[in-house]
Amino acid sequence: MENSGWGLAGCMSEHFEIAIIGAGPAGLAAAASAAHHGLPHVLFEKGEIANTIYDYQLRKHVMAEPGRLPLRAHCRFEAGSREKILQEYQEDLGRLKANLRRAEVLRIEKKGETFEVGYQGGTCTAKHVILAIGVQGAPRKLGVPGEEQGNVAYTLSDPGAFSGKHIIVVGAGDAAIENALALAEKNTVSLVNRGTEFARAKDANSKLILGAIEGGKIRCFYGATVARIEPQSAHINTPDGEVTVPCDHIIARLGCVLPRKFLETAGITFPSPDPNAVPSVSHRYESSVPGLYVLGALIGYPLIKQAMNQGYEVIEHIRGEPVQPADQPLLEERFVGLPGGFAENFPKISANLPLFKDLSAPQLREMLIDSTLHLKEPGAVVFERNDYTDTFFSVVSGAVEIEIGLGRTIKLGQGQFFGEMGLLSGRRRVATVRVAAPGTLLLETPRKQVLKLIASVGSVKRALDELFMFRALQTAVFPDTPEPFLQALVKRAEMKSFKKGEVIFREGDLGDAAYVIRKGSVKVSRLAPSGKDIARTYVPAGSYIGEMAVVSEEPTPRSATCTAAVACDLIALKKDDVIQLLREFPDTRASIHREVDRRRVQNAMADWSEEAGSLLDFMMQQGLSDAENVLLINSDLCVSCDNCEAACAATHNGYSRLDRKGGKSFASIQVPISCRHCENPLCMTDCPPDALTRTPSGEVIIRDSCIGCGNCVTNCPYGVIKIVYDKASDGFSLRALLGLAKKEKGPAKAAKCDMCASLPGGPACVRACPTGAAMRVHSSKLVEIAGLKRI
Amino acid sequence: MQETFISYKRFRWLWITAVGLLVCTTMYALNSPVGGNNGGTALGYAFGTIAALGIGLLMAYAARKRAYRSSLGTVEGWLAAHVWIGIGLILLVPLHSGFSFGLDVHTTAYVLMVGTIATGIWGAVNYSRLSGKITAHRGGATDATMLERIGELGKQAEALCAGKSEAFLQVYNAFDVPLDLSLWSIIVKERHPSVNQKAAAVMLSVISDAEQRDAIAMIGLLDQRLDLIRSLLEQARIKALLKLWLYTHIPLSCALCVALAIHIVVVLFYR
Repeated sequence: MENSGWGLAGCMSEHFEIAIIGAGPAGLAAAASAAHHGLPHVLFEKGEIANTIYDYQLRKHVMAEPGRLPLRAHCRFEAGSREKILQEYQEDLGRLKANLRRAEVLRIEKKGETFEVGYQGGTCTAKHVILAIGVQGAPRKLGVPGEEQGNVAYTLSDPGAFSGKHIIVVGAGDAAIENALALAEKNTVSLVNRGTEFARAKDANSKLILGAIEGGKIRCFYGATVARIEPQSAHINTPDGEVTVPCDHIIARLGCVLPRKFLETAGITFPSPDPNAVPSVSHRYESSVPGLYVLGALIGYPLIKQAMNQGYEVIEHIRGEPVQPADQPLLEERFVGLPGGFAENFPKISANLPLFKDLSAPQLREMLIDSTLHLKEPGAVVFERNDYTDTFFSVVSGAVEIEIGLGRTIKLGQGQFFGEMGLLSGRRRVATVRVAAPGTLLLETPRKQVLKLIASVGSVKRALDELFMFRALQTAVFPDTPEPFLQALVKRAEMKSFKKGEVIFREGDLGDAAYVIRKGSVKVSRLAPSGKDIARTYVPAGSYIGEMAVVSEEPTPRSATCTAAVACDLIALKKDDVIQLLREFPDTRASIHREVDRRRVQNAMADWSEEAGSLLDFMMQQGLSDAENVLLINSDLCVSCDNCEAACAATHNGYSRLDRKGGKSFASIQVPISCRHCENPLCMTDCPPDALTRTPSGEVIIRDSCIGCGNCVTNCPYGVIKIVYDKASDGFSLRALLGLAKKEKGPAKAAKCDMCASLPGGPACVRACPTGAAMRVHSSKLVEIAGLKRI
Repeated sequence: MQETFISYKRFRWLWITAVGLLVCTTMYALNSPVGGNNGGTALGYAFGTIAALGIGLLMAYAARKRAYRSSLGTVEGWLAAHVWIGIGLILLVPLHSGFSFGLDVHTTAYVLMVGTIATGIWGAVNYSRLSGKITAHRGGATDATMLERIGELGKQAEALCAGKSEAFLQVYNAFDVPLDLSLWSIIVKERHPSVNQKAAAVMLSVISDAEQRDAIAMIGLLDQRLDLIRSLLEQARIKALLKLWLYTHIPLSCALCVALAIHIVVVLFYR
């Protein structure tokens, strides 16, 4: 112990201007500032200085994110090795003569104007307390059967200790990514990512892990969770069903649980009971207890540079110096050009947008720095129906109108939000939105930022989930029902996810719920007189299933079996709730009964064909129910001349983007390996330069900014994307005609069907088919193609 | 019935051709030039010009089929026009010549044209009849999987012969027909007949009881193998027929072009 602050007697009566708890980046920066200004202070640390960095893998390269943000502190920090950063911290503390005390703080109590800080070995008083203890203390557990076995760990200090093992790393944050990458050097590593992206990770880490996954070094399960653990293996729930992976060790890096109880006993309040909620703090990081400041990861700020800036700012504030947060210029930039500028408009945002009320001031600032403000006049189009943009909008002031079709509109005012469908990956905009009030101020937030907030702020997730349900019910199911009915229904509704192939309900079961399909599509099948289960139709997202069984007050058996055709998110409406609500809203009841009766008649008229049903089943197995525009070939007409492939190659630099023979076929349909321009394009999941995009007319295309990383090739379940190298030819030349022109190897680029966007006549494959066998269709035509009546 | 290149847009090109021919035939019937109808009359020249333009259009199909960036109609539409206008020429050309034929370059051009059209019809019929019969297009076995299975069955049968009697080997030799994928074998179907049951029964009667079970198993395997060979050859035959007609159609059409050019030059400059 190099510091001499252990004396018991001396501490009893000690008083400091500032007591700083936790010598992480925030606490260190605060102590450095206090020492620099000669303020009487004490810095408590129960473990090592910068404990989290200390626990990093040896020689780990520590990043200085976010790159744009300047550092303001009296101690040094820049990207570099773990050792260099720790040494600099030590040196700077010594140079500034910061008062470090190695002790664990046990309680903080406010007595009048001062705080009493009780720690292991003494008590002291302080005028201000800065709490910067981070969240590393309590790791979040997996909570699955088998976890109690000795092969699950929540930290990893020396990846070199493992070799030749099967290791599963759980998590999608920086810790999980770094552990997985380090372990993959000598072990077989699988990564279990609950989501479909690495949205929470630093960009650099995200690129590294995607590269490793693409290179086959690490196997990644997206949308997956650990189901249970056995001594030599682990069962993982994936969107395609449960898989068993050999497993010697599991490293779970699921983040940490906030030491909420400790904070609450100090008097700090939280905005919600949500376990993910962070304490409310002012823009000066002051908690609900005056004089008690909370910094860093505790308030949702896990990055080193941000935490250090906060430490600096707090000391300036305590000294009575006017200080702006370091990101202030970046933030103010967003308000340039608005009447009233930053000063008038910034407060409006938190005051007018209840969705973001639980965001801490720093979270709000970060969200705003990435967002754009639009001041618009009535009539201006925010976006059009069927556009493929994916940003999220909030109405800061003014109003907008959503056109939901048939001349009906929904008006949204201040504090409401829209564009939430864009958050469900690449779905089209379902309605046109226009500005409806003069001087309407809209906040446009990128999808990635909102996903980050959904992941970290419970109230944002809940509010968006409820909005999804409400809009889905309103636009798809009950357009004419009164809002109170829908709102009541939403309150009682539940979100349910189903894996591909999972049965939602079976024919003959008594119906206990109806479902609205929020994402994915559902196969409807019925038992034929022969006893075979035959696919009858499929139901796309935005529509509903199972309604017949729940509107009748009698117990009603299901008339068909419903199975998830792709991974689905459904909104479940319980029968009891629906019945009860329908009693309260007799008008709605009548109109819903009419709709249900109409479906019954359709069902009774529907035809039976095992052959057609099997063909529909085949097409759904090929994932075609998710297709916006897919090339199919009618086997009754195809003469295998392959003019389609020749046309594709001739119009795409010599590389055909379709492989007719390589695809699957059944009965009269061949499904070539060729892009389907999916409704939920998985290829777009992780494109570092954002080169994969949807054009306003719906094609999924790859822009020139493609860096050839191959993520899309890995993520596409249909194998339709290839990496190509050739440079574009310079056109016709004699050398080229004679085959003498040297083919220069260009940079790697991902290539796939672009629907011949540059050709006035449309896709060359279809127009080059001499027999009319090639066709391009939307998933809504599958039922017809199978030869079934549309129901 | 689903639309094909023949019924394209409700037989649009059949109707256009039929109406055109009806008009031409009517004009021909009403026309009574001095010296009778022949290619030298005004109407004869008119019909000749139309027919030559028609042939030009048919030849242009080859160019359109390869002009992959073209937005001038679809290849299917062009093929429909190609088929029906081509058939129409069989009647239009005699109207042009006043049904006069002889042993000369002019009639040679007509014969080549009819030959081209006939092979074209053969192709159209093949396309229509055979296109749905390619099993690999319908989720069935591909050539590669069939070949692999044929090999496996042959090996299994061969394996059963190890250490067996002469009589046993005779059965094997009788039904182990070598795989012949030559064009001749594809065209003449019966090169790989199924196992002859009577002959097999006779051969089995001289095999010892101990070898009976294996012999029957082997015959089963060889019969399966032969069935599969016939399926493979049937697929090969279909694919060959879908291409073979082109090897007659294209050379004939080239010859037609030459003959047509000679015909035009002779008519215009030497008459």
